[in-house]
Amino acid sequence: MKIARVGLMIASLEAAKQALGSVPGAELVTLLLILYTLSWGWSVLYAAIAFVLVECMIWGLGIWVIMYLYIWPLLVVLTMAFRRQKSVFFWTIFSGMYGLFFGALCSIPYFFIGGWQTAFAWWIAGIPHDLAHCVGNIILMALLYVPLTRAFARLRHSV
Amino acid sequence: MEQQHTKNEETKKIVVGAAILVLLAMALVVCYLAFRPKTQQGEKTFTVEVIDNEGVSKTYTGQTDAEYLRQALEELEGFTMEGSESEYGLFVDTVNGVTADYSADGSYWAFYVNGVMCDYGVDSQPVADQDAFTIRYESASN
Repeated sequence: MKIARVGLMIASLEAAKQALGSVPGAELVTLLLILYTLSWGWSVLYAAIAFVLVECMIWGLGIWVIMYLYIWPLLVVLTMAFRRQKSVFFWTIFSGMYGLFFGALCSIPYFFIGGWQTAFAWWIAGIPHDLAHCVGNIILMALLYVPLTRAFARLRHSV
Repeated sequence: MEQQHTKNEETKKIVVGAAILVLLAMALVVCYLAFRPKTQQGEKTFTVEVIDNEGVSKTYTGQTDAEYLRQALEELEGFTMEGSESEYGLFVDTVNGVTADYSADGSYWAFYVNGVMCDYGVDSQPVADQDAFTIRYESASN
């Protein structure tokens, strides 16, 4: 049952990513990983890593793979650290912060490739995308936290 | 009474958290405005050397009012460029009809300005007067 659940998570993450792929700043992966983690805990780490591997199969290999391999599991770890929080406002701010600093987190591999100047230039160039990402995460979490949390609670009790 | 106190404390934390988020967003805006790549207005002369998968080199000289590389390249006679659009701009995979397929063989088109690898994509790379660009077919396995 756990394997099936993780499989469904991976599929939904990928479908959600593809669905909003063309909308700048909007992505459901952050929202879903947070809510899955709040509902099902550490097992979501498997889904986060497998999601990256599925992305590799679709898009091929690139430096983004290195970023994704730590960014999404890190989100799961941070969510677990704050899992006692039940407030929609807390998670809205949390997901907004993650979107705001997504670019900074992504720039880390560039530090090892080209030094701090390369990493800094890469981060600066992406700030408009980070701001859009922050706003997108805030809106999606504010709208969907309550209904999805209720839906996942029903799922947890029935499965 | 105690419940109300706890609720007030929680509300205070949320408000502080929201304020910090807004301040951080503003700080990022300031950083962007201060450190973003500066563009040059007016007409500029630039060169582009294309080195393809067989090592054959072709050099173009152009003049442009464009602030960023993409538009300057699109105006360049005899030069063609294609790729896929992403939220970060054009990801170039074909130059002068030669396609670099990273997923197939690890190849890509690398962009350099004045001998240094470009820090930005073609949509965000500024063009300055007398800039010398190199677009080289490279392979990750090399």
